[in-house]
Amino acid sequence: MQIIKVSYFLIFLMLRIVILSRGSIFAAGIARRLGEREDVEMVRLVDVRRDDVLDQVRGLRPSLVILDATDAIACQRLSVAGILNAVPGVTLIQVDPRSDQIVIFKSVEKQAARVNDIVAAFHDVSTELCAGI
Amino acid sequence: MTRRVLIADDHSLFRDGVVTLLEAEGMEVVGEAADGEMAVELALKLKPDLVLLDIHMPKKNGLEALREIRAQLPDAQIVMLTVSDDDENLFEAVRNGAQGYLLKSLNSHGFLASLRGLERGEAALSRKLTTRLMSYVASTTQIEENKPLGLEMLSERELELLKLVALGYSNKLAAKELNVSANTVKYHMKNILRKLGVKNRAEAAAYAVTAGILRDMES
Repeated sequence: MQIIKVSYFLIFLMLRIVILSRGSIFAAGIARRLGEREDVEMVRLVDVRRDDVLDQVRGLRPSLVILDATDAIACQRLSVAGILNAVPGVTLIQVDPRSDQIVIFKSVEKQAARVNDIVAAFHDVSTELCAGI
Repeated sequence: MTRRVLIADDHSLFRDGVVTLLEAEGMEVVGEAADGEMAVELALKLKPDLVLLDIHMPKKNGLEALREIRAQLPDAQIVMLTVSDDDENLFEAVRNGAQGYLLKSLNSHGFLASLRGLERGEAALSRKLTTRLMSYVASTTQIEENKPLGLEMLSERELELLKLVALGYSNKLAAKELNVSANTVKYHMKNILRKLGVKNRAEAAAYAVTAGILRDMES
């Protein structure tokens, strides 16, 4: 039972990563670096110029999508909301190598029957995010 | 033989990506520098075969670092790897002995192909930048002969600027309109004056109006 639990834990942690880019120097470099990690099951570069880019992403079932913030075409063609809607539950990280900054986006769906539920949801999400830092 | 590479860029995330790419291509990254001073220091100490230099770096910019490294290591190949596609930076880099000038927006295949080309003695330049460089060389060669060259010898960007000057734009406003720095505008303006054989911007504006440069805009 213990072994099963550990295995489940490892499978759960294995990352499936999609990098949205035109294949820039930076994107290709981080794709290779991520591919070397043991906790990464898959890394795919998806060309943002494809018409079916979001279908491609959805089909790859990523747990993490990385968006190259320096890729003007990627940022023009794809919105954060569009990506999060296309792959519910995915974490989106926008990476900006010009400033060594990343911005993390995560969509969480919750039921809200009353106005107070909105504030409660905000506190829940804030606590989760802080716990992750 | 494995090529030994030094990379200088103040953005560590970008540097990390490039290092991975170079290592996957079979190159050995012998050093990483986060500023221009460190780039010069490491270059002189490690004597790499290839130096990749960003332009905008703290302490010492990439063009200054290029001059110093080139003076001390004449055999090293030096390539600028930058976001700046400013003509002034490109020309200065080439004048100071850079074998290449690559934009960070380039795709990885183009980047690696350019670095491989260096080994065959080719310059690491995109076609677009090569064209701009050739226009520059052609125009400066004629300028040296002191011949007024006329509107046809102005580059597209210089013509745009001349139109703005004829409309009364200051350098600052023209820079804003063309989305370039004030220094770039000054640089283009200097070329315009030389090519047209005029002394100042007022004469350039008069030349432009007489030549009918604003006619297309009025119709």
